[in-house]
Amino acid sequence: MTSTDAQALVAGVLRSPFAHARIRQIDTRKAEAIDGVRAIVSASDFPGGESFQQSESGHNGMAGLFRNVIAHKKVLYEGQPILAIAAEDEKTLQAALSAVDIEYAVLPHVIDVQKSMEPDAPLLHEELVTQGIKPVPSQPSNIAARVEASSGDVAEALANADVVVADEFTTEALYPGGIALPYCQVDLLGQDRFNVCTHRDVPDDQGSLIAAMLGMSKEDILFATGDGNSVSQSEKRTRRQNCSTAGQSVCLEPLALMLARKTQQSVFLSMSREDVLMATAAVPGSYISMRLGADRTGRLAAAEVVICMQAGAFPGGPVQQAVDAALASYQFPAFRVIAYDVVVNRPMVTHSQASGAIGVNFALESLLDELARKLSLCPLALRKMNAKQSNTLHDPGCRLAFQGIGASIEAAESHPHLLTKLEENQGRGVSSGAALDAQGNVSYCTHICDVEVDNETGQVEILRYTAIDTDIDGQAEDCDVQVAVTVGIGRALNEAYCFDENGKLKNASFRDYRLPLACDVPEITVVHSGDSQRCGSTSSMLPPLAAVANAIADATSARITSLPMSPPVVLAETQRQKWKRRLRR
Amino acid sequence: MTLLKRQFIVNGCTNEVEVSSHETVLYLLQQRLQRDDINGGCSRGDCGACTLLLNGEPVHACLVLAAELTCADVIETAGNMTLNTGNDRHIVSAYQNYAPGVCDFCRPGLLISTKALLSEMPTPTDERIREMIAGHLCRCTGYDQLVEAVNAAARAISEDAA
Repeated sequence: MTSTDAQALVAGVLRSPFAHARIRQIDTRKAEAIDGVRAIVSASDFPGGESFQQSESGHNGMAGLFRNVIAHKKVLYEGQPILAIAAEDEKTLQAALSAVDIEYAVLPHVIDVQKSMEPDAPLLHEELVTQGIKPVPSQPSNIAARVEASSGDVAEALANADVVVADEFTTEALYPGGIALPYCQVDLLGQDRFNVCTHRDVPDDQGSLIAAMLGMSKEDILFATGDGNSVSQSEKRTRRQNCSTAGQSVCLEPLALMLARKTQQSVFLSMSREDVLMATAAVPGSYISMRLGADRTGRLAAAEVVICMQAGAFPGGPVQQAVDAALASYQFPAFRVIAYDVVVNRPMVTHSQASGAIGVNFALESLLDELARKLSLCPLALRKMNAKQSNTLHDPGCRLAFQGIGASIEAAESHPHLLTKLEENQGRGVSSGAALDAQGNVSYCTHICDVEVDNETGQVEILRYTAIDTDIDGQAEDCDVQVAVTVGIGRALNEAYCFDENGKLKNASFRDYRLPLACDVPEITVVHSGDSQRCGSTSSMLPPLAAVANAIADATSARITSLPMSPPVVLAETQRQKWKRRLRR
Repeated sequence: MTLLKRQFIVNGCTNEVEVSSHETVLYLLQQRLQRDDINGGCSRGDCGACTLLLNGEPVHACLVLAAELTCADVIETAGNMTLNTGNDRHIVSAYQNYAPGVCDFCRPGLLISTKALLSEMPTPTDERIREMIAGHLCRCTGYDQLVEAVNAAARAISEDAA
């Protein structure tokens, strides 16, 4: 992405090469001396940042958001911005970025959510005390918050259940964005008044936040969306969703504005693909432990769920979203959901596109499949039997009750996809999902997926995919569902951020972070279930993960509980199952 | 740094510029010649956004050095296709009608690849179309719309020829 204004200064960001380190000293004298360097900004240049900087813990989001824009005294993930430079041309900019001397004291880091919860884990925020526990803990930890929702006596219900299924699930952090690269161009409108043109729509609350960081009045910053004609309707909707929550997407604007303010000149700042993958908000990974109890007929009796969610480097992961959505589609007489918001040395996470519900939906829909298998029930019949009905009241202790999943399950039961015959090494999986979109609409869906598993390599091929979704007419909406399913299939089979032993991202390019290609997905059949009061396709992000896992289990008897289900993972699990079967002979 | 004088044709116009040895065709077209009908999303040939035709063959502009260009080289970018001449108009129109979800960041490269495919294979199978599209990453359509658009373009071109 380049500036259309040849007079604009070129800006760049110096990012942390370490996952966790104290910044002892920053020496910019050599960079400042380079001819053509016009301005250098660091955290101390932001007058409005002082109040945020006071809080070491970074709790409640504001401090975290500011420190995510530019590091102060400490870096908490590889790629965190430390300073920004504006120069007359790209060559000068690169020379200046190389000339900055920074002295670091490298600290032990923690990437894994479970390790981060250990008492001896390296502390990211020395003053972070877990919220939501009484009495308040006296010692700091990496657990920022504990959220719980419960109803009934879960222990007793599980003890009395005829069948109990349980497992542990892990999901990895994911890239939520698109192909276009983020950018920000700031132009002067007058004395200390600016026009900001970016790749995204900047919502009002974020505009206020950016102004506060700069110590400016919001009226002096006019936000315009760049390339208004160059994005599709679906992408515009995605942008709105991306920007509507928590302000996680704020990254370039404050830096470009501060550089423009210092130089009183237009500034263009963009990100490379490596920077985007390394340092922009991710869909959080999680560890989930889940137990379901049911009677002999398949009627669910109880659920016990523990969710440990990666919040990234700053507190504020979508744990409440996970708790709300965890069991909201099915009727559980007794349940207990506990979620932990855990900081790790990774970029902060996004709340958009049901990101908090992805992991827990994968776990629940996988276990429902196991339950159906144990009871020799049709997986769709089991789901329909337990779906919340329209007259179901909101569960006590749980803010959401999705009451419409039954319609999409019924539509799936009569879909001709289920009549297609499967061959050897092929399997069929179903999965449902419900989610709230950014506009507050609930959408429901049930997906059917057929796969073929290569016994020798573990390669999974998606043969057929049907998404029974909520009622929307028109091509663009079909497309939204197809996008959601394609993204979901990618997350199920390939996508994951991978870190090395030093906490550095190993796959910071699209060659190594493998998005699904056209040849990886079949034609996705979209069916509308006919319930016209609901709209949106956010829910379609959820079922593909479990639908693929359930289809693999159907084809191979291998239950895969960690994502992504890449060929080595599938191969190892199928071979383990074969070995177990051999022992039983 | 040594600069090399290079002459080449872009969309029918002759250009003469001095290029450095490390400069890519993408950088040359986007930054030096200020063309807005080509986008770069990865600089490594992963995303397909910068696809253009070099002497009729689709190439990733981010992987071709500008210093390799000669006066015999003819470059075509998607901007030329939107002039709506010949078969190009059918391809552009098919994308407008059948793939409205695709964004303008990826569309130029897709138009070029579609042109290359249909000139080599006027009636491609869905499988061949998906192979072609596999050179392009897309997060806006889920790919089905793109297959429909290429099929529609192929139909329109063949009807026009008949």
